[in-house]
Amino acid sequence: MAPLELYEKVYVDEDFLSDDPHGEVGCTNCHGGDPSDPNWKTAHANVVKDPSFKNAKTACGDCHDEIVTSAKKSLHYTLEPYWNILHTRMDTSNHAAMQKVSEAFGNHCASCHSSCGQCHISRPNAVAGGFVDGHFFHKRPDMETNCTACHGSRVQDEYMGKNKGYPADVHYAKANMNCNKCHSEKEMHTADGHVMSRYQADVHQTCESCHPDAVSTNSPVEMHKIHQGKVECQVCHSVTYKNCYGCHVGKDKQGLAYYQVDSTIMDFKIGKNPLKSKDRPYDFVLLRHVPTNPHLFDYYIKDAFPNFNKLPTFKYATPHNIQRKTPQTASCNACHGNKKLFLTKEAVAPGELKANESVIVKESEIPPKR
Amino acid sequence: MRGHKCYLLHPSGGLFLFLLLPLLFLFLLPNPVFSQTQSQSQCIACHTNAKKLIEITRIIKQTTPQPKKSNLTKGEG
Repeated sequence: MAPLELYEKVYVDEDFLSDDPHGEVGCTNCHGGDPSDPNWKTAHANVVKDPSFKNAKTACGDCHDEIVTSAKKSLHYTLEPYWNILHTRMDTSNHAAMQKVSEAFGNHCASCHSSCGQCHISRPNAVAGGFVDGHFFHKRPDMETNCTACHGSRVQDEYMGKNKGYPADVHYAKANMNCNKCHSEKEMHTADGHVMSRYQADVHQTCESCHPDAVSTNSPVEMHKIHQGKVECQVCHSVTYKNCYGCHVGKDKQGLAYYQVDSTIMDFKIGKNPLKSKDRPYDFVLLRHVPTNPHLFDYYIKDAFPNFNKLPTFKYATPHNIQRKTPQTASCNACHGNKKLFLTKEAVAPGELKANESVIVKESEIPPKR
Repeated sequence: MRGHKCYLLHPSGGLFLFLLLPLLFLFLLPNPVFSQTQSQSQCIACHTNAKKLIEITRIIKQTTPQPKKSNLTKGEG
């Protein structure tokens, strides 16, 4: 996605004023400023760039009250799982540490939230903003300028086949499906409260909502009947995906925030399900290594995470690179008895064994050869 | 032409005009809120004018420090 010139970011299409109902609302109603002042410098005093963050209710609530009330508590808005994970790994009674971690999070991670405007009007702040379409409001966010602007290195690269040597997801390559075909408006706007992962949210997409036959007891595919409820769909229908290791953050000599990710590795690991639920009852699921590590915020505070091992560093994953036929679907023994596909303790760094205890597959638990 | 009366002079035609005219004013004339905003607002005058915006953003680029990214950033985010 090419970056926008500064003027393009704020250029309003004249048709927006007549063709979009929002064009009839005076600029100052949402943005403030002084519309009668011909001096652009003083006219912009107190202008609010994104009126929908952090006060979505004032900007959008008059007309979209129900959506705003809910969306303000959605994961895109609150980043709640990040906070819940950090808090689980921290000593929450250590207020000094909490303050330092909050500072680090604010400097390096918090810009990755989204507001009403950053989905429906502008590119997200994380990619330096700018109107997507001359200030027109789009009911459905654009996949490339909005969704994958943030969900780029893993979701976009997998879905669109941008990882060299790996195919695009069949839903994209053959059906040209946008993100919102699966990830509904309801899922995006639902208030999700205190979840640790988007997979625990009340509203979420499932493969079977479009492929009911695959989970039917009368499924014409024998393998579906055998593995039903035991193995996550992606275990058979995904291919190798991205895993990141060793993120740490800091500020350079000029005071500019930076992050460094030690390595990104294409890998495929079947592990034990860390999020067993009625909707996700599987024994075996795919696990992705996320870049977290105990030294993440060392620049701000050493030993910020005394309880780091309370959560695995390999997370439940649904890689967006679905294929009908994969190396796993070739034969039973593509997976059965194939130790290298499983997250065994040999596949985990010694320092992370304890954290991943609950998801590591013991050799005796690997399904035997057939 | 005998027996052919002007429709608008007919009592029911007059009523028709009486009802139609306010509707014409309501829908065909420019939206008063919009036209007022457009004629008075400096925001609109400037933000819909690419030439003006280019000139102003050029000045902003020269006079205001632009957000920089650290060279130390490494790896996929």
